[in-house]
Amino acid sequence: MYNKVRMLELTVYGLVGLAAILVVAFILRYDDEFPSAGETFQFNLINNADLNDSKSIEPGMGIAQFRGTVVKRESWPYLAP
Amino acid sequence: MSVLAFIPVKGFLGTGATFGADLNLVVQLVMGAALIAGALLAKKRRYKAHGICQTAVLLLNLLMIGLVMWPSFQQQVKPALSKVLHKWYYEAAAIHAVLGIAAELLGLYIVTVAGTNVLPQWLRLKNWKLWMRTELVLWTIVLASGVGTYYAWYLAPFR
Repeated sequence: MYNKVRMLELTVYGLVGLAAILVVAFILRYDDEFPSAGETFQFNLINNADLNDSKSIEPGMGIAQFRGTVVKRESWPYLAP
Repeated sequence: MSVLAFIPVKGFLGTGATFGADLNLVVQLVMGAALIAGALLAKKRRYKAHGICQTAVLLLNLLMIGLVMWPSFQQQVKPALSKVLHKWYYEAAAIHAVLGIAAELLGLYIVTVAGTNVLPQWLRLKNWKLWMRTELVLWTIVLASGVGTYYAWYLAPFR
């Protein structure tokens, strides 16, 4: 009788220990993927895609504020032969 | 860089699940077995071992909720909950979440009452056995709903 109870006790401790080992293995495997406190999930960008719409930029149209820069770059003196 | 980064991302149960989901399922089944064996310890009047076992499982599960289940729920279920609750994918997870939160809170309450003196007398349990058995039954239902969620997420879509 005593031996049976002792076996049951050891089985329980074994199961809890196994569960604990698996949890620790999980933590060690994924520790760099857990979001830190206050950090939002990257998936929120996908989930709220309708809120994240930005003005589309047509290819080939060019953005006015960058045009000058491009022209300047083309005329850098030290690039000339 | 994680310590066990060599462990593959793909699951090991041969389903479409991730390694994390597979590991969580195995941990939950092991913890369920530990809880049932722990209940048998109480029947054999091994109350100290019973208390250690049930409390350890409860805290380990709290860890798994925080690390696996709550982030999954927040990422994949919560944003769509109000729009597509009729879909089994979301229903299973929502039912599991509600039952799981109830079981975890009841478990924490029982452990707090049984293991500490922080709660006043009027908040303490009178009928120990009834509440602990209720918790074990609820936990079993939650475990079954968790397996159901795993099925709805990773097995049903591929059949």
